[in-house]
Amino acid sequence: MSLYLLYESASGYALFNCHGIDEIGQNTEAVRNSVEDLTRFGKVVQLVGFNPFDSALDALNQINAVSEGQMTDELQNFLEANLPKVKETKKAKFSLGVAEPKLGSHILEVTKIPCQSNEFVLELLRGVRLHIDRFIENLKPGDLEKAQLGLGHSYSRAKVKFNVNRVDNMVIQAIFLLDTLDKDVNSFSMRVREWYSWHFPELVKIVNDNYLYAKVAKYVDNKSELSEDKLPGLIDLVGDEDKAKEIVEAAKASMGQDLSPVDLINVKLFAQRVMDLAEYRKKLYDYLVAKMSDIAPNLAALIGEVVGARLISHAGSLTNLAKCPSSTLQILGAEKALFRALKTRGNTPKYGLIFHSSFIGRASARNKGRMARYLANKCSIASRIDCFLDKNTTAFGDKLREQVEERLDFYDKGVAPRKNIDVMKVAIGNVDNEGVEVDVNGATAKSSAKKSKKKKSSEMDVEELPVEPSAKKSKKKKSTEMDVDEIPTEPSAKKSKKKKSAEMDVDEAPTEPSVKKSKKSKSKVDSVANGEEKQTAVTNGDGTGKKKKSRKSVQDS
Amino acid sequence: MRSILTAQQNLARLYSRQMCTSTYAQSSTRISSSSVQRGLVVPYRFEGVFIAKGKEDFICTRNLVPGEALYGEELIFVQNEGGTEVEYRVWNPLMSNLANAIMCGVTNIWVKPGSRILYLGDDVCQITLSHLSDLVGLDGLVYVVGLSDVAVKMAEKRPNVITVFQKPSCIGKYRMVVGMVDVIYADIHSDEVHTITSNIIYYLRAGGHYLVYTRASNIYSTTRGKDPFAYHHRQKEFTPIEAVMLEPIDREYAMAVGGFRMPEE
Repeated sequence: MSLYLLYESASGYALFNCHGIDEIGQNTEAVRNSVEDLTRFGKVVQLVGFNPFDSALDALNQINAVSEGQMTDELQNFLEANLPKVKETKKAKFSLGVAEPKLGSHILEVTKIPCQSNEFVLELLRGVRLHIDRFIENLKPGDLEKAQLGLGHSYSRAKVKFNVNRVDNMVIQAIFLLDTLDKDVNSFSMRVREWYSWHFPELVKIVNDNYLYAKVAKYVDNKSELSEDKLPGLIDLVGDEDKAKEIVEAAKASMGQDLSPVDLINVKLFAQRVMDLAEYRKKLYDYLVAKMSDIAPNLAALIGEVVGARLISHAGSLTNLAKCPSSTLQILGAEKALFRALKTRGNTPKYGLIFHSSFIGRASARNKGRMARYLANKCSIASRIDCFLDKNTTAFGDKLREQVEERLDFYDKGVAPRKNIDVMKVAIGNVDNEGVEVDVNGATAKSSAKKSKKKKSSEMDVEELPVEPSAKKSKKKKSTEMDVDEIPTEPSAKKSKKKKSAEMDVDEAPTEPSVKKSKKSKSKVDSVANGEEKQTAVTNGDGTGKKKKSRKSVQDS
Repeated sequence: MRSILTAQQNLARLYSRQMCTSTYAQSSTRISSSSVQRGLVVPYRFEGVFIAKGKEDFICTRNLVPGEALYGEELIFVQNEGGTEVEYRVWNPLMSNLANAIMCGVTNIWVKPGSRILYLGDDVCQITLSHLSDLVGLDGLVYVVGLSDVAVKMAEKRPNVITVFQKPSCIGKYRMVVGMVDVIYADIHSDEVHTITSNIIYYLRAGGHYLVYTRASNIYSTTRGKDPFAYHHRQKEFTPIEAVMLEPIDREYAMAVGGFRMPEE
């Protein structure tokens, strides 16, 4: 009975015929010895056919099918073309060795080719794997590795659901460039001012804006030529008639020296450069806004594009930001102050990059810390929605923003804010109206899990509780797959049920990891302090007792 | 109850890792040659690993992607005879198990420039992966099997890393991508005992070696435990060579080194 071998490689399918088996027998030890040496192995096993994959896409389909244990049409055609025909009633006189029994049974079902996968076949396949590039003549030495590289990449990316539009790297680069540009534009503008002031010093005091200065400098050119007929143009530029007249007056009585035409041309060129850079900065800012609305719309709706982008770039990526606990998000950017305070057992900072959002500025001094914490909590939720929800929607971000506003009102005037569950119900309603399908099936199980997570901080909905702490935990544990096809609810539901039985308090259960964490961090901190290296602080003497009470009120509302 | 504790420990570990990476983000410091004793970088007894001598000695590898520090480690620039600059990356034993093993005195790691490695990881360590990729150089290959998106991102920068986003225990699923390897480096919780052994049987060439990072109790205890090699019916194929306790840094853990189908001598 002759034995054929099916070997799947990154470049294609290969079929081998082993005809030396009678001599070796079915002894694995002997096979092992012959495997090492190519010439001996070549006598045992010979290549019957090789079917290279047509394209990268085809290869991806094949590997997906093979990993599931299914046979594709291409494989079927290849096998039927190269193996001897199996007659209907008679039993086949050969068998096909495959690596995985599942694939073997599928092949048997469809093509009636008997398959075997035992230790003997495994040994032979090892030999094939070792010498594969020698068997196939068309393959040059590096080809197989490149094929493996490409196939591995595309397979992994497909699993990770790599979406080109939602690459957060663009935002990180854009925000870095924005900062660099700001610095550069500033230093260049200073240079223009100094340079042109040799010629026309009074202009510096009249026109304060850098960009405007560059424009005016370019327009005015030689100040001795500045006369009344240039006045209308100047008014257009500056926008203010008085200022334009001032400029003209100052030009007549100016103390600055004259410049030669060549020098003037150079200054003009430079001023033009500065204007171009400033315009480019505006365009870059628009690009950043557009990108943020692509990849993190809720975060952008909540705290603004720039602060959101800074948070993402500081954390490293959107997924990193989503994995952070909200307490980390609160002080992201104030690490120096944080670790200094931890080392010297002083007061840890209250806010980091979050400080630059408008809400913290609007809160009174007493409530800045509380607003920072609340805002960080909501930002955490928003970033998680952005990271894991497939649909692109700002409904949650808007609702979260409303909640923050309401809390600000509460601190100012004592107006009671709405309950969280109500707000989130509206948000989900909005999202549904936008056409998101929340179906029970695995595809959006994660998104529904994340949505139900907002419901979590209120008490209700026992059925959804097993889904979302599992989602949150599975995300935090990092050990479950990113593959949304497999619903990770069952084993983690068990875990959450165990958790629930351990603590009787149902509403505390889902917030337990975050509450425990904040309690841990609070035990390190004696009292609250101002963060943010730029600020020189007046320490806020809020005791931890007060903080805990206010925390409970956050939980309840 | 135990699951809650492990969940909390995982969260705490994630938090501390988060804090570490965010504090060290994006800034690489250049050690001036003067602080490294006139830029003295000597090869260590393993090929591809170097020691940078100075006030404190560091182990380092030659950087495959010059100018880039992954997690804020230090880059050492050394002047070559030809006048070109060679760049080395410091390998931190506190963060990487393999560096830890090297510091604890493993006799041989069997990973050389030009060799092929299969890295199996439940939780792929980005740092170890980057240094392995530096070690083997452009001639060698590192196959990474694990559920880690950071590895996929890193593979975009390094041309000798092939990532497979799959569980290491589903061996059949990635047999199309992975070829025969010289060394297998496994960082797996040994709950599924057969994972490492079946990966070895499929992908490790005869005479190859494996490095397993595992709990020390698995190696030395007499109970029928999680030692993957103790009760395998093909026991005679796996020859344990040594087990290095990763003492001061990582208590209770050890690196077990062994050979597969070593030729009779």
